[in-house]
Amino acid sequence: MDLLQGTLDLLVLQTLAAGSAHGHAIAQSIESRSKEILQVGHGSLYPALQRLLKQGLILAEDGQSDNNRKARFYRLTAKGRRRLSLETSKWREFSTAIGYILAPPSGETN
Amino acid sequence: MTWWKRRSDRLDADIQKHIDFETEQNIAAGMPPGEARSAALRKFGNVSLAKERSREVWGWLWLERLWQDAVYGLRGLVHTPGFTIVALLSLMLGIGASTSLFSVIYGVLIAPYPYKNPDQIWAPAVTSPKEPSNGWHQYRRRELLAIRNLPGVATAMATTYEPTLLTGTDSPESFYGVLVTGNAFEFLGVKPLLGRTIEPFDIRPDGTPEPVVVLNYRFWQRKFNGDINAIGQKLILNDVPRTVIGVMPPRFGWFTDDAFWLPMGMDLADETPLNAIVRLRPGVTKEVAEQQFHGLNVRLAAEKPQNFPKGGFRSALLNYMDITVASGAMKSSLHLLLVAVGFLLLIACVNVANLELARTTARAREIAVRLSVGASRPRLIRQLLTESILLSVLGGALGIFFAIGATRAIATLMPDFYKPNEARITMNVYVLLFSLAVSLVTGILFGLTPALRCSRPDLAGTLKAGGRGAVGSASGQKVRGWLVAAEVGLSVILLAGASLAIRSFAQLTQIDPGFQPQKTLRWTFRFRLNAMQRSSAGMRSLAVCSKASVGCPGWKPPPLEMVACRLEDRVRLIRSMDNSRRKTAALSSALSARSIRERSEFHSSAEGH
Repeated sequence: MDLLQGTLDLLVLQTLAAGSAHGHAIAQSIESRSKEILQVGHGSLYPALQRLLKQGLILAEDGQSDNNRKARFYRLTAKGRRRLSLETSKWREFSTAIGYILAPPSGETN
Repeated sequence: MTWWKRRSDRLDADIQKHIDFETEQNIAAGMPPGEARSAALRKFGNVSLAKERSREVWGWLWLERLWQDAVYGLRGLVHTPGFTIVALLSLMLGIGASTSLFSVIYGVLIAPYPYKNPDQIWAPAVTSPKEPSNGWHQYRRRELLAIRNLPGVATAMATTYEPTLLTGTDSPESFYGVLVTGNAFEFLGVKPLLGRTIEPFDIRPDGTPEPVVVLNYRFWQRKFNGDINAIGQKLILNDVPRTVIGVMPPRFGWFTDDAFWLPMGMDLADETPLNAIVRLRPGVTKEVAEQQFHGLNVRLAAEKPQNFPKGGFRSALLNYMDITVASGAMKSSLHLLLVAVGFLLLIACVNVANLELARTTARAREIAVRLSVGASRPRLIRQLLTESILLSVLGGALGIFFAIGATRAIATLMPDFYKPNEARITMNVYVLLFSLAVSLVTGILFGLTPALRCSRPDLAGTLKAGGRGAVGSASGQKVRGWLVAAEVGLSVILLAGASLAIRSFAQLTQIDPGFQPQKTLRWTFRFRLNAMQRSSAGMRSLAVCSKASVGCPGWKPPPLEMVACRLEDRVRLIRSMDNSRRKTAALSSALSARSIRERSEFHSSAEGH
């Protein structure tokens, strides 16, 4: 299943909320946490990372991966954390609203 | 751009590492290395697209593309030298010629003076049906006070000449000093370059002037070599030592461009005629002020009828711009030029538009090919836009150089008497910008049409039409037809206008000055009169006047310090005149003048001397 437009940034922020990670790890984490339902085109991750960097929501720094390899790690900033909680609540509201509409009509009239 | 390069490299390395990790993971899962790598690449997707998208986020990609487009456009221009040269020449001539011509018109007609609000300066004139003259009526000192008391007049100043002998330097030299009232410089609103100007307090309460002098820039350069210490030094003028109090800037030549200004004493019995000018009070119209002047003039004429035309007169106020700025024939030919300038710019624009459209048809195939292999329409439009801007900028740069050169050339070649001595012809930056903008917009607008036209989904047709791209669409043909028609029409108008202008210029040079210039010599001399008589063999007659300016538009006889003789009649010498109004009839006889004789002033009693 492809991602909805504009949701990738939110998913990246959420992934980084758990701690800093490099690009490959972020892509894998999104896939595994969505129970493999969501396919992230790995290539589209990089424009998203550049967008978030530019808005100052994440930071990039060099670091060591689990298997002791050098890689570029991305980390959430305070601003990014605030944006994440804002976007999360917005998304919840939105999906609840969509859920109401898509739910099969119940017995009671409204 | 190392910072830019480092960022690009880091992104590339990051993506490379991503693919490496994925490959390793695949190998760990049991895939053979080659397959593992291609699976990783597959999963990642289009690598260069990802890179480009990421760089796009940085917001600098347009610069890279701009550079690419500019290089490509430049190559295109070099490959079509015919188009490039004609388009560049059109732009250069259009921008350059219109800017330089307008600069001349601006310098001579629109802003010729350094004075404050020169269009609010009025000169009182008296005209009579019987004795038409050039109008500017001369008042006496006493009458100036009456003018200042008119309710509509805010301020009035007056000017006259005084023959002045400068002594105490290497050689005595005579000048026409300019006498001005104490308020003159304040009236004209020009600040001095050095020191101060003549002020009202330079006229003592009893009406006598302080012994001070303000220098003209050229005089200061010539006599003091531009020395700042000129201020405070003494000049002996007509045997009176006068203190130099100021130097005026180069662009100030009120009544003189090589002498000096002296404060005018207010001896009310002095009957020297003065040139008065006034500024009106706010809200007072020209007509109201004219009535007030007429009332004054009628009163003055009752006291001194000899100062006014006999048999009734009318009073008028002449705007200073109208009487002094190039008037009559010169003004109308300059206006004609102004229209021609507009046409010239228009023709250049139409020409460029037409060239761009013609190129469109030639490029239709190229554009169709690029569209069909997947170039995006905005990208193509951007590229064509870059090309047109490149062409326009190059043309504009040439135009600027041409404008600078042509303005200088015209300013040097233009005869001095065509422009007021204070007029400065410099390139007008605003007009240059305007012409540049007009040409650029034209170039861009018509450079875009290929993209707009060719991106219509008729690729197959265009591709089939193939190399014979000159066919073009019917609508394109029609537009080009209109443009050509407009261009030819404008050119015809311009040609007709130019031939008319040349004709009137030719007539201007053929104006009968009233004597035979072919057989008349003019020269400047400084030697004694009897020496001149001795060397006069071969001359039929001889006239001498201090300032020969016969034939200039708006000529007024300067105060003549005149000696003249008619050699045919055994050298009858007419004595040197003093500064009074006595003039000599010998001048007119010597010039066998027709028009000059008609001017009444020369019918005076000089024969008696």
